[in-house]
Amino acid sequence: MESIQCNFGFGKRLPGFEPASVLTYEFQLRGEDLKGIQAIETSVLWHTIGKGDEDIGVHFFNRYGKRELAERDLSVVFEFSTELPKSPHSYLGQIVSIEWLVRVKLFLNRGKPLVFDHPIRLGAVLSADRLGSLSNLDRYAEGDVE
Amino acid sequence: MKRFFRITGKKRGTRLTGSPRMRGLGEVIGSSILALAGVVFLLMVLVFQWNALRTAQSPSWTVFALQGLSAMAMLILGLWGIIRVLWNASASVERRGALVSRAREINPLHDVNPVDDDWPAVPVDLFWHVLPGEHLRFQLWPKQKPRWNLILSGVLAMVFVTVTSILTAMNWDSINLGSIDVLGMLLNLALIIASIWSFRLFVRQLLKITGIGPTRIEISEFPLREGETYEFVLIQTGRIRIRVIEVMLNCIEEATFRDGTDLRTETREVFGLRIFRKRGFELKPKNPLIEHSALTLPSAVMHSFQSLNNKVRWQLTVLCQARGWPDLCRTFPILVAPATSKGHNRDDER
Repeated sequence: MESIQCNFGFGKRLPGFEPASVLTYEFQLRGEDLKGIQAIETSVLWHTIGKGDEDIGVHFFNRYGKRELAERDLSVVFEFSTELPKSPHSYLGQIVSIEWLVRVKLFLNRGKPLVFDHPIRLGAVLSADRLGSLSNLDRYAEGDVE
Repeated sequence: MKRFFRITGKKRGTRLTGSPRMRGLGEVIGSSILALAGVVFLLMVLVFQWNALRTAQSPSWTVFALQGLSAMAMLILGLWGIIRVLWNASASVERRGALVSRAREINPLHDVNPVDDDWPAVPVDLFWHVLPGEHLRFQLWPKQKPRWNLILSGVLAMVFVTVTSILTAMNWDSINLGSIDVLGMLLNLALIIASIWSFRLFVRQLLKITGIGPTRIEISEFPLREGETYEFVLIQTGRIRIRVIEVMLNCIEEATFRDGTDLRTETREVFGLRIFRKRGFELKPKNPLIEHSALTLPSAVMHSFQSLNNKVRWQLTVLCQARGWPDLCRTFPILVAPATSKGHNRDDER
């Protein structure tokens, strides 16, 4: 079962997507034992990374159950398209970070599900470290009135 | 190395050791017992009440209602536990998340709130915390901090003053009767000092809140957008000589996490920009400080973000220092909107 691979393909050059733009992606499964797959779920989601407990927000979700999978060849490319939301943007913070993922989850007839993640970037905001370098609290500030 | 099968588990932060299936099974068994007990208890209550009515006794409807509600609560809690475990076991995290996202899209206030423009995970409720301004379009609402210091110091002062008064009265009586208790007198003296100290602490806390008058901030637009410049007005009232007053724009990350059985929140300021400072001036009741200034939000900054356990907050902070007074810090949350696409920004510039 571990021999199953998932190759992602995107309609445009990675890594960045603008908010409210259309994300088109495809994935193709390769492996010897594709018949052992009971269900396939694909989602576009964001999740938080950092010191806090993980939060997750699912923007797009699609599931192929046993019945749908029986009718199609699993080695053929799966293609999806979704309009991305306006927020939250991908962000690299100090204790809070936000990562967007395209996720494919394969439910097998035995064992744990196989998860394939492909990170994408929504928006283009400064990281916390770069934002911090713009701080001026240790300098004489513009707008000072003496 | 494969671990041995474990029936019992242990908490390690948010993670649990042991088998998740056994945990789910245990939860289902526990919930089923609770639901079953609820059904049995409810039937018993109904049968006893029916018997009491049949034998023409005068049944207590209050007791019946309390017992019936308890039985119903047990039944509902048990059923809820079973449904929750079955739902968690039958659907993946993503599937459950998709359903939650779809449920959130049902927003009856969508047409009412002009900034609720499909911004997931943005705290748009901050829009309800702005008021119409007097000098500019919007007045920001200050963040209310709990007055625990004032309450605790007030309770402490009250306790010390009460105990000291009683002890003083007892010692006074003793002196009048001609007997002097040295130990009691020393204790009384110590309590008088403690009372003065606690009362001074309470007055200081009270002055901290009431001494320097209210602070108001008005702003030309709301919500704020990255790279844009906004006019703001600082209004400070009071009767005091100010050493320095500053306004800062801050971005703060906030993370909440479980540490064992505790729930902790850590904050970190990742950005601070001083946008106004004025030194050495006198505040008078009829002559408050009214200062116009401008703030520019840097380009490509992270927007306000809020999820269950994580936040990125933006705020304006007013720091005021006066000689002989404790420092005053008042915060005004602001909403930084997510940037739209670059094409949209170019359209705006034309």
